[in-house]
Amino acid sequence: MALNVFYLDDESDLLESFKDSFETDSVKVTTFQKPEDCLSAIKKQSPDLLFLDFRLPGLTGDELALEISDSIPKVLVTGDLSVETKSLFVAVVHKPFNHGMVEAIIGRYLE
Amino acid sequence: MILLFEYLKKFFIHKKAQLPIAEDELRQLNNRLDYILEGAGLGAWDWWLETNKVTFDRRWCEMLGLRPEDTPQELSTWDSRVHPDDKAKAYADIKTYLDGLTPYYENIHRLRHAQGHWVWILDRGRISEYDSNGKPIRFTGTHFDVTKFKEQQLLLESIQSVANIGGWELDKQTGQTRWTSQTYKIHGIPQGTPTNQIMGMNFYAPHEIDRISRYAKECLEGKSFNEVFEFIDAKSAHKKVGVAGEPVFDADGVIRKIRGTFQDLTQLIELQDQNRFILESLGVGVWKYNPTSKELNWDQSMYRLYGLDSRDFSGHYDAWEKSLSPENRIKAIEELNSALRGDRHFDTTFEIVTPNGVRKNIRGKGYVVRDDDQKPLMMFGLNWDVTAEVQLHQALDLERAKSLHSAKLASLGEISAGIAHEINNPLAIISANISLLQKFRADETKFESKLVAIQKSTLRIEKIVKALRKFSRTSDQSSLKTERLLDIVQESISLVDSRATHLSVNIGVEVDESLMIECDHLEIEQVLINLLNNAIDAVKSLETRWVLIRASAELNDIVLHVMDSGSGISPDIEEKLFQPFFTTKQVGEGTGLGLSISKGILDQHGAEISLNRSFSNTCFEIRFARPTVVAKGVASDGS
Repeated sequence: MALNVFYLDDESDLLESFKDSFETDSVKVTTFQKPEDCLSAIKKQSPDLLFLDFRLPGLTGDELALEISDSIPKVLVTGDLSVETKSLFVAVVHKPFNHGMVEAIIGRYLE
Repeated sequence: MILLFEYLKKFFIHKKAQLPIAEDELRQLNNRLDYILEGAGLGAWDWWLETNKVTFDRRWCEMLGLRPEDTPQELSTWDSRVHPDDKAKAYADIKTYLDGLTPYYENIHRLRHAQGHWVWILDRGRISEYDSNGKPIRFTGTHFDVTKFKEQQLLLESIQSVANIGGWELDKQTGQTRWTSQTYKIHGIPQGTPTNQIMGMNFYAPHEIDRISRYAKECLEGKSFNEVFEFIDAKSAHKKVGVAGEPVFDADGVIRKIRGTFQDLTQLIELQDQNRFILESLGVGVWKYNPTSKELNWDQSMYRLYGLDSRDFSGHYDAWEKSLSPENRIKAIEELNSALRGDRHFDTTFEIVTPNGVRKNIRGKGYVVRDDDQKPLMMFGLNWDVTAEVQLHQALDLERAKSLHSAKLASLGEISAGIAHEINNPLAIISANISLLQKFRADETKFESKLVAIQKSTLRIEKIVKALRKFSRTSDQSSLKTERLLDIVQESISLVDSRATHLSVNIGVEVDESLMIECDHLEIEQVLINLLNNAIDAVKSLETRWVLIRASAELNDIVLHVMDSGSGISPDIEEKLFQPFFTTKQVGEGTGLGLSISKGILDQHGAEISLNRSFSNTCFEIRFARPTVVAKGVASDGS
């Protein structure tokens, strides 16, 4: 069974390239542009790994992370120079991404 | 005129006129007398002293609002109408005359009018008939209504009393003096007390007697005077009196008397001393300058301010010019001259150097007294030391410059954080898509879409950098010009109009063409385009879509409103509105720099932008300072 990865970001072009870059036979990438769509999807099916953008419409990634179960590993994605992360995230990825780093994080959860 | 007719008839009979006078001749004479009395406005009375029967004629009655037919012909008619305060004097004057002490009877008294008010009457009379023993039996006279004159006299007296000014007159020949009531009052003696020159002199302080005598003597020889003397009134109160006198010449050019005013200046001088004390303790100097003679007068405080000894002061304008520091000499002199020309008020700050080399900042204010042809006669003014204030201002300016600099640095930090985020997002898209290009080399559609994404992101970065260039641009105050607000508004609208039309947003304008602002045309246009675009974006998906630009002039400001049909902005967003990179728009739609750049531009214009919450619709308000009107006189100086 493929690894279920969710990515929430308001940049649609970035979502598309993320999916194009990291979706493989063993990794299924589902993207969301709006926080509420992401939250309702999580309720239906928990992802194995959740990438959250920091600056989201109306709130920040770490504010959203508080509302999501601790059991889901979360990665913060940000374009800001420095972001104070609480221990909510397993990793922080800076934009523009280091392709290899994202692959490595995903790789960690691929059994 | 039966009475006079009777009288005349009797007179001629009494005189046993040699020539018989025809009755109609008498009647004619009587008519003429009547005519004269009527013309002179005189009422007549005829008093039979034995019986106290008195005949009052028609005009006598009418003067008091009485009907002749209803007026009892007896003394009590008059007696009952005399004012209580005047009665004793009236009877006394009658007695004096009847006793043969005065050539005729004359008295001014008040009589009660039928309507209740008082009428001032000049009453004059003479004995018209004696009995065979030479005893007066008939007393005849006239009444003249002098209310009008009396009221004027009372008014004059009350003016004198309010102003504390009295009058006096000295007869050169007799040495007799005549005083007005106020002069008596200032002396503290009852009105009417007989006075003469010697008695009057005794009221002056002992050391002043020589001086006042000398002035009086010189005045009698033809020289006017106006001096202040120390004076001790009848109640031993010490006063300062102003006495002015001038000779009165008769038709032959001979001085018959001298007369003048007499004024109690005690309070005024005390007040002046008090003012001088206040000014001195405040360090405010008072100066007077005669631009024709160049004579300059200073009070004690001025000497202290300028560090000069009064003995070293020339009393000439040059002394002031010499005291000015070389750096601002020309400016200060020009400001004084322009005040004398009437171009502006004299209200300025200049620097002086005292003889000891101390530099002081002096605030100078003055006003110019002009003659009928607007030629300056005299200039009066104040000077005071503002060195401490000027130094404080300089220190404050320095502080302000420092804090402005640190604020700039702070916002630079804020901006770089924002820039990083705004640039890193498109950069992430570019970088991800570039690595994908390789992957989708064979898939033309995918390849194409990656290229488009890269291009779009590149443009986004370019746009941000361009906006930043404007944001960081420092303003050049000298580029501000007085511009017609309506022109700027219309040009801005022309640039967004096609977009507005496309989105069916109606743009309205209510800006009077007379409104002018001082600005950089292009920059204000940029602000308006930004506000218009925001407004169009805000309403484009609403049912009612309009934008309105309107402006009005207030006391000191030109107020511009950019309103739209939206329903306002929530308070939590309002705080962030003017921060760089804050946006509510979809990704890529706005840079989040528009309003913060607008604010920066308006700050540099000295204008303020805010959200006006008093409307139910969204309303941005910009307040421009009204351009200062340059006076023509100053502008045409060309200096």
